Amino acid sequence: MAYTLEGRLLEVCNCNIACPCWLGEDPDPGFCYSAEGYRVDNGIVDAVDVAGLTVGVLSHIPGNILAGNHRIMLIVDDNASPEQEQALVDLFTGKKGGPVAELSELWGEVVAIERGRILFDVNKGKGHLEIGAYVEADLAPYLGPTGEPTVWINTPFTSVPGNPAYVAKASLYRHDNPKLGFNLNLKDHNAIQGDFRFEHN
Amino acid sequence: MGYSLEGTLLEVCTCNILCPCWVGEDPDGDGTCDSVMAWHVDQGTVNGTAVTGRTVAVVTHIPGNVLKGNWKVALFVDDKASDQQNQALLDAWTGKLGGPLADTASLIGEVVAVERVPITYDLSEGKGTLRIGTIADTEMEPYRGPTGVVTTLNESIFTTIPGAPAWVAKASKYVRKSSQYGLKDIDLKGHNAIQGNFRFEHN
Repeated sequence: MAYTLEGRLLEVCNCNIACPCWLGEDPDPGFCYSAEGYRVDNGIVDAVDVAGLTVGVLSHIPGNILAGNHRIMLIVDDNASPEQEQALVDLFTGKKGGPVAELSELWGEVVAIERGRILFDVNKGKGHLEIGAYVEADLAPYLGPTGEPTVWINTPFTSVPGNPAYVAKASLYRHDNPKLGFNLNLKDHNAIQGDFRFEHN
Repeated sequence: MGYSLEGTLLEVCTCNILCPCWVGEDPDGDGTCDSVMAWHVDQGTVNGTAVTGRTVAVVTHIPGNVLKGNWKVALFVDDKASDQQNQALLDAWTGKLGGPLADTASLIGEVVAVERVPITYDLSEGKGTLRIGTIADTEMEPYRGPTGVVTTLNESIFTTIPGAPAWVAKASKYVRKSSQYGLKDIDLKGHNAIQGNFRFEHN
């Protein structure tokens, strides 16, 4: 019942730039329709190696992110073997305990769990995300005067203290999700890429 | 005709957390911003006059995107400044001496008042108090990560010291009594406050 995972986390949502949820504040419109991708760069769940796979979490967050009751869909990378898929589903639905279970405690309803094609081509807040037929997003980071990306460090939810989260803007955020009951086609809203390290023994 | 100034600056405004202006975006809410900004000089000279320890503040209405200018501003110099320091700071902050402060001053459309008042700038890493005479009274606390370290924003577009952090905070109190200057009164809790570092140099 142990895992060690590290990788990149991307959130794209309908908030304005610099999504307040990252500081524990309420979403800008009062609710949030988000798409998150967890790209595992290195990771083992029990004895199953899950490096290179991505899990997508599609959410309707009805209020403050910490108040829970999120309605979500879980999309597992269709490159996963059946064993890898089971390991990731168990992990993200909280069966393995630890920090990932704290995340899934915020979910009030898992509306569906599906396999899907996931394209996670994002680095330092720049790139492209696709999750099944549901989500497509393009993003680029803000830059400082010397061309370095604008970052947040030590936000309340960071799982890797001291590491940057890249503050970006999604030039495209399309999210057509009949199962969660919304259909978005937005320009110039929030995207933030951080990283994660989840460990539990 | 030169200056070399470094210190910290503070912005408290009507935006939600985090003020979009810091990444060059439009203010949230109604698209305008009513803010209080202050620059506290930790070390500096203007045309040979030492201004270390002095604070300059503005109370402002920003009608749209911060970079589009047309700010309406009341300008305050702390009353501990000697006459010579006061003049040096006004020359620098109103843009007469050129350089990066003139770039900032070029965003100002109208200066409605210039006054000397007591200013309390008691801030460190996004925590503390800024008071400008009887015109503004603000208190704030920074956000913190899980280990207690203050949340920062780095390499934002307005950075004047690459790599130096801006501390991301929330103002538990933002009271502004400025209607006598034609700048609206404010009484807010839980809105944006950011403290950053500055270095302005010009020869």
